[in-house]
This record gives sequence, C-alpha cells and structure tokens, in this order.
Amino acid sequence: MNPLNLSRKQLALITLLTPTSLFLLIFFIGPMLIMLTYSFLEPGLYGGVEWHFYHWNYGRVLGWADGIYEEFDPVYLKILLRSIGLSVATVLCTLFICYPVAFWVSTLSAKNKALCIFLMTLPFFASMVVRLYAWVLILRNSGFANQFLEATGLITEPLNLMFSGTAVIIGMVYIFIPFMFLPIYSSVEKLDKNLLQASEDLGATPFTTFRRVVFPLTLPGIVAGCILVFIPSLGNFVVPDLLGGAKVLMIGNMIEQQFLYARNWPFGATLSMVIIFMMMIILSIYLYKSTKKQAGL
Amino acid sequence: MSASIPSPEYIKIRHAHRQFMTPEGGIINALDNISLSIAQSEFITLLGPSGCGKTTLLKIIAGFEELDSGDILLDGQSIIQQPAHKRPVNTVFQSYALFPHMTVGDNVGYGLDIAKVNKVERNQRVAEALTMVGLSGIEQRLPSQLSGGQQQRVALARAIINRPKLLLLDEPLSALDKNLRLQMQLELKNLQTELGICFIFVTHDQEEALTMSDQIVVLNSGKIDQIGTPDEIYHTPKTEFVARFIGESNILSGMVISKSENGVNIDCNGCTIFSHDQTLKLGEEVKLLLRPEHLSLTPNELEGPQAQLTMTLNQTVFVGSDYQLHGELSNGLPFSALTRKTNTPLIKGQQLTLYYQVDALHTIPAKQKSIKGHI
Repeated sequence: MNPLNLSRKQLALITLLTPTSLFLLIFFIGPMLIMLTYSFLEPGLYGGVEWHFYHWNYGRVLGWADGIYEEFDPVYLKILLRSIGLSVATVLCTLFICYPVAFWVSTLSAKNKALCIFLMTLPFFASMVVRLYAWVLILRNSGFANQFLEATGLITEPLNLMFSGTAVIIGMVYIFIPFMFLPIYSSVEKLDKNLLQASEDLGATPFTTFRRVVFPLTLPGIVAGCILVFIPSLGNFVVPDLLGGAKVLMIGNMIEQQFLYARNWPFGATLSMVIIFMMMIILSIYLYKSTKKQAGL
Repeated sequence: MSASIPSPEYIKIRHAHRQFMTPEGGIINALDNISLSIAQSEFITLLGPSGCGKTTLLKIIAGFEELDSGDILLDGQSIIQQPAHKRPVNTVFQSYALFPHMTVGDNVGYGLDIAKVNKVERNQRVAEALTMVGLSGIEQRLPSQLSGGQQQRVALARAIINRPKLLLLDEPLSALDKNLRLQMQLELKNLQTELGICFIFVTHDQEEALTMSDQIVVLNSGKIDQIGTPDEIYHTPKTEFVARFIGESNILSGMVISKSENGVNIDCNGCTIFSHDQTLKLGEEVKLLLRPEHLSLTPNELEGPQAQLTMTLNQTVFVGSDYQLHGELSNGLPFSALTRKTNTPLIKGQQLTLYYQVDALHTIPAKQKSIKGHI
C-alpha cells in the first residue's frame, strides 16, 4: 500500500491530472492574477508601476481618467462599444453564411463531406497575417474588388473599401468562418432527417418545421458557434490593424497600444480585465441556461 | 364517424410507377406499374423483402417521394399534387421520429398545435390519445425517458390524434423485442377496429402480416405478386415467390404424367405426388406447395384422402410445441415436416413415411405473370 492509502483510481487521477493542473496554475491562472493586480496599480510616469491601490484605471475605461482633472470623455467606452458592434456583426455574418452551408454539406456523400471539412480548415495552414494581406490586395483602391466592379461598369470611381468598419468585418468573417461552421455543422449532422418528415407529416409547413424542430435542435451548435466567434472577434487586433487602420480601432488594438507603445501596463491590464469580465458574464449565462435545460426544465 | 357504407375503393392507386438510379448507373423499378384499390377502414399490409418497393409506395402516399407516373386517389380526390403537410394522411415512422426536445404531451399535441386547436381541446385530445395507446399521464416526460415500446406508443398517439383518413405504418414494430411485438400487433389491430380508419402497414415480417391484416399485398421487385386475405395468401399462394416468402414451405417442381378421374399424378424428379387438381393438363409443368404442418407421421383419413411420401431424416429440431423434421426425399431434394411429439423414435438416417392431406396440396402454374391487383 502507498503511504496516503489511496485507491488505484485516485492514484491514476492524481498522476494524470497533476501536470496539467500545474501547467494551468502557473501559466494561466498566474498571469491572470498578475493582470488583475496590475489593473489596480497606478501607472508610473515613465512606464512601470507605483505599488499602491488605484481604481482610476477602471474610471478611465468609463470616461473619467482620474475623477478630478479630466473631463468626462468616454473614448474607451466608444471603442469598446464599437468592438462589440463589429464582433456582433461578424457573428451574424458568419452565422448567416454557415447555417445554410452546413445543411448543404450534411446532404453530401461521406467523401464530399470530408472534403468540405478539409477545405474549411485549409486556411489554418497559412499564417493569418499573410491571409489578411491577401485581403488588402483585394480591397484596396486599386485592388481586385474595385477592378472587377469597374470592369463590369457598376462603378466609375473606386470604392474606399479599405480602412473601414466593413473591411474589418469582412476580414473577421473570413478568419472566423471555420469557428462558426464546425459547431453548427456537427449539430446539423446530428439532426435526424426523419424528424423533418414527421413534422411535415403532422401538417407543418416547411417554415413551421424550421421554427419548431430544426432551429431548436440546432440551437446548441448555433450558440457554441456564436460564442466561439464572438470571443476572439472582440479581442482581435490583427484584423483591425491591417484592414481598419487608425480609423477603426478595436479594444484589442487599444490593449496592444497600452502595453507596447504607451507603456501603461496597468491601463492595458484594466482593459483586458474588462473584456474578460464581459466574456465571463456571457459564458455564465450560457452555462446556466444550458445546464438548466439538461436538467429537463 | 360517418354512417356511410365503406367505399370499396376508398384509396385507389393507379399505374404507380417509380424508378431509381443505382450508383452503378442502372435503373431499378421500385414500383412497376402498380394498381391497387383499398376499402375504407381496412387493415392492409404491404409485405415483401427489403427492396421490393413497399417503403417507396408508403413514402409516395405520405408525400415524401414522388411518382414518375400514375395517380393516387384518396376518397375520390387525387392527392399526388398536394405537399405532404396538406395530405390527410399520417405516418408512424420506423425510427419513431419523436421530437427529442419536446415532452410527450407536446409531441402528441404537435399536429393539433399546427392546426391551431384551442388549448383546452388540445390537452383533452392529447390525454385521450395517450389513454388510447395505454400511456395516460406521462405528458410531461421527454421521449428519452421512455422505453422503446413506450416511444412506439407515443409515435402512434401522435399519428392518430389528427384523425387522419389514412394511417401509414412503416415497419413500426421492427425495433421491439418479440413479446412486446406480439402484444403490439394485437393492440394495433384493436386500435384500427376502434378508430375505423384505414391502416397501411409495411413489413417484411410475414408472421406480423398474417396476424394483423385484413388484406395482404405481397410485393416482389416493384410488382404485386398477390393480393388476398391472410388465409388466401398462406394456403393458396399464386406464385412460387409468395409460397416461399410466407411461412415454411416445401416446394417441388414437377410435370403431370398421368390423369385419372380421381386426380393427377405429378412426377417430381422421380418422386410421384398425387393431386386432386383437375385443371392440370397432361404434360403441364407445375410447382407444388406442401406446408410442413400438413405432413404427419401417422395416417389420418378422417380429414380427407391422404397420400404418402418417403423421406430420409437428417435432422430433428425441437421448436417448443413441435418437432421440425428435416431430410431428403428419395430424389435427393430437401424436405421438411412438422410433427407433434411422437412415440416413434426419430433417428438420423431413418426412412420416414410421411402422410399428407391431398386437399392441402397446392399447385402453382410453373409460369405465371404478376397480377394487377384489385381488392
């Protein structure tokens, strides 16, 4: 027997879980705690921090830099709201693209299904930055999109596609489509096609069948896809950097700037914590709802 | 329920034709020019092996598949132009197809909700339908919390609640274990009598078909081989296919070699069988059907004239109430008989004399065409 008198099963669990737990503790929980601490410290004049409690970092996010000298200016709140807006738009676009496609793919033969999934994940093999530069070539004033539209005679002057909210949404939709497609596809694939016939058989029109059978049964996939797209969209800074330029800053760019250029780590940490708290609230609501459903309510 | 006389042609299927492409590029006639009439409030079984077209026909009636040509009339009106959701037809699916995210009550009430029946009536009818299938009071449960048999009943309740003119059942009992299946067979038959609506039941299980049906339609490669009552199908099959498909059978091919006033002698590869069938002509080739249960080890002249056969016993199988005797005739062809417990010792290799009722012997013309049916 071992000294702690543990059963074989307990020993196995400890052996298998310890490395992962330690890894997460040191490299995931640790940095989070450091960030949380920094967000309550005062930024030093030349970078670095003053080690005392300081809550005006959060005040600055809401628009009051230190509550005394500066006037109310919700610039960060605006950026945050714009980020949410762009992310929601990205989620909706990917959803409307992926949902019908998932149904179409689920009707294909096994071989073609595998091919489609492979094609869907193919972009991951190339760097995201490289792929976004390709979009720059497409969207800029002398790019393929404008060339094509001018050639067809739809426009006479090139459209300013680059450095706009539209460009950022196009880029993010492109990047995040697989994250929406895969969970939706797996729920569509699981959907028993007999249920559609059963619904129709009982007198439901195709629309009613969709509303009462297809949509509720694929909802878990839709929700999972939305979360998987929304979270990285909100924190994304590469896409707005390359396609949005200085005009369409997102919260991710702000965080990047605070850490790398402004050398204001406490405020960068604060912005990060705000996003993390928002995500945690959304995920908690989702978890609460889904566990309640599983309990049979 | 209307008091009108049941129409003998409540459902008419006219020259129904449906082809499929095989993956190899060939063409299969799933339905080959089928015509069929079904009376109101009849229990009809479409029986046949897999791939005979029975499920295709059911799906076409339900509206999930289309005909290449032909027509289907329900109560005098063509339904093939109507989409499935407008047809007064409901289906019990093989996989039950219960909505997993809805309670039993919502599943059963689905058709009523679609038809916008008011809440009070809806709940009352849901309760009635569930009572009818013997499952009252489980409205709040989810389908996943039910056993296979219960799910089957819920599917049935859901399909009858709209009071369809026609109920289609697509091998609904195939997933149940044997005892439950037997019980459900009787319940289905009772339910059909109670509701008085026409049931079209699809199965490949001949016992199921014999137990429940008013009429059986035997399908073979997209064609109707025979339509008849279970008794007709069993005792007087019109084709060799039907004879082989329904029940245990000994089928011998032979030729009429002599004819007398009494009957005819048929030679089956050196083994002579005597038949009373006077319609047979000298030299005609026929198939003979002898059911194992019409053979016995002891002569019994009380039920009619008998003739005899000799079989070499190869194997005895005990099947509960009876013994199956498998062996060979003198011409080497396999043969089997069914007998009650007997005092005669049954030893392998033994020569048995089997007696058969001459009137039970059924002759099938060696060459026959598929019929265009009319019930």
